Amino acid sequence: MTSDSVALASKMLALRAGRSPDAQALAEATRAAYDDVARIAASLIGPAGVDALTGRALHLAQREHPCLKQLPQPDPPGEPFARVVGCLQQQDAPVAAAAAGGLFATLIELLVTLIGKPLTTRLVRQAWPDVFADARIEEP
Amino acid sequence: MTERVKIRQLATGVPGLDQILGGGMPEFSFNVIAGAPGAGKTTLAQQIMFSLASPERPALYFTVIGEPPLKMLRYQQQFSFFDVDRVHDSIHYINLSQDLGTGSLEKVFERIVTEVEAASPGLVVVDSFRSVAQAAEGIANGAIDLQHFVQQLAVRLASWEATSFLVGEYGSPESDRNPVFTVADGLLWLAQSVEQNSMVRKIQVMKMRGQGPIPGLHTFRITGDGVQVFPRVIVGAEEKSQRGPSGKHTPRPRLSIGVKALDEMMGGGIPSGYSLLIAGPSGSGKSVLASQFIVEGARHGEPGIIAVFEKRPNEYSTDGPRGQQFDRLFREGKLGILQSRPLDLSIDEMLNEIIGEIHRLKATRLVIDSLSGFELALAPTFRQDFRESLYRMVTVLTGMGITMVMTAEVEDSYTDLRFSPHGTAFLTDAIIMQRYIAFKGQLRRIMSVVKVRSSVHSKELRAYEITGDGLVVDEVLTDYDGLLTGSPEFMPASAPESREPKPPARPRKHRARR
Repeated sequence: MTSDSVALASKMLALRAGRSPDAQALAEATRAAYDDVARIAASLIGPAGVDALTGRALHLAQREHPCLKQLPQPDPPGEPFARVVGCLQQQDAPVAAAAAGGLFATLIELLVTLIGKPLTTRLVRQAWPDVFADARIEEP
Repeated sequence: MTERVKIRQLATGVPGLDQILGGGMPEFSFNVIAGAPGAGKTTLAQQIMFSLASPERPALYFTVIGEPPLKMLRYQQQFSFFDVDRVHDSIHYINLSQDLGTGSLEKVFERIVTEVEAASPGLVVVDSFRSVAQAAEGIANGAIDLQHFVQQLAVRLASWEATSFLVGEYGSPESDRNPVFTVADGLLWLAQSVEQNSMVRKIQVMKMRGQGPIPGLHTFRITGDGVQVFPRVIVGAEEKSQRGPSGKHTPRPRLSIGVKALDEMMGGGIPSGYSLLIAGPSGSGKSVLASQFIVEGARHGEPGIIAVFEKRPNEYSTDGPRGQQFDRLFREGKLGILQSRPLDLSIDEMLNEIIGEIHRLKATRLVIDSLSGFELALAPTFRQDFRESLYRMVTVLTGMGITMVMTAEVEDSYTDLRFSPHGTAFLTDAIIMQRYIAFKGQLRRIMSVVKVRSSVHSKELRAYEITGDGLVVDEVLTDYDGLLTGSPEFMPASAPESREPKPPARPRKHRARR
């Protein structure tokens, strides 16, 4: 993972979850952020593409963040990301923040690998415009 | 009101495509891009889209099942026309797989219409439409529903002033009774064929309402810049009239070939707009003479082009005998050198390249070196009708007023007289034959002008040398007989037939070897 994508994901979560959030607030912010990026990405790569990339990102992020392996079963129908949210709710806030940030950073880098940095940047900018309102934020 | 509706033709941005369409893509037309998998349909559609889309009239690219959008975006970005900055600005990708997943064409139609009404696009692409058709096959009254769907879609998209393309995988135009072909205003068919180790892509405008496309199959190539079509050059289309203002044929001016004695042998040079074949064995100086023809033209302000169809002969290389001269002519825009892409070339690709270079340089002289290399550079499928290809090339280029010199390697045969291994000598207006003979213990070169159509010319057999300054014509070998047998006989005081003026002959002290 590059420091840029990690910084971007962390900044986004900090903006959306507020200062010193608890695990519940982090989980809710993660869900909203994922919904935004998934919606925009689906218009480009289709819902199936988003689901596939999310699955791959989760698989990769689990290596650095073992807490993401503690996914509640079963997966609620129609909510592929709900298990991740459920998992984050059960963690300590710092652990949940690191795991969520790592997961988003991995997802962003997968997109960069597959569809290129310029297109990913446009996509992320559209999904999380609030993050880019701060000009100091680096692109992924 | 008697004014007819004018259909604006849109420039597609695909080199050569507008020409075969008959001027461009009719605005607000409903078109199908069809062909087998891998034929280049998506690339063509994307290239047109990136050319035509603007922020004011954006393009909507509906992806259905078929090539996953993730992969399509990944691969399409490799083309130079794919401008990432325009995605989500003037180009919008919309995925229809969920709408199609319901099995309802009505839902797909509603989604397309909603998006079109929201964006007011100038261009709409549905890729792949075949997926929509296949979904219709699975439902009751599917065929009727599909026909209805296509008709409704065509009307709705035209009403919203969108030019649209349905991209679909179809095996052949005859095998499908898909109603989309009937409804479509335009039908572009893409195909690829593999023969031996070469692959040739072809495109056909099977239908284009309201305008006259160029009929037949046209070759195209996909490179990093996308699709480039090579319109089939039709004999006569580029023809320049040889008639003067009075309507009478004007005599063709003669061009120097760069060797004074040879100009005299040809009756005053080569008539402009003629094709000249220089036939001879390896090392006989065909390329030397051809390069002299080009250099002489440049000296008279007539730019020339050399199309090299084999390993670049030393004659044309920068470190060759005329390297510096060619380099200077090239920099001054008086010379163009085209190097072939061997083994998978189509005649039209080469012709279009030559014609483009002719227009660029305003060239009037052309060298094709050599015909054997040219034949080899063609894809196997085009080699089969090489004579037809050559005929078309010679007719088109000379019709444009180009004077062309072609070289042909012919093995020396002392039992028969051949000018080309291709049986193509009859296609040319003039022929110069070069040969080796055994003469006074030396291997000498001789040449003769075999024909110059509608012109008197020398019938002499002349010895010649290749020097650092090029080809130098020597004496007329009048006192020898049987030169073409390779072993001439000394025949002094030959019959007093009329002879052309000849340069001073070398002293002949020895008899030719028998």
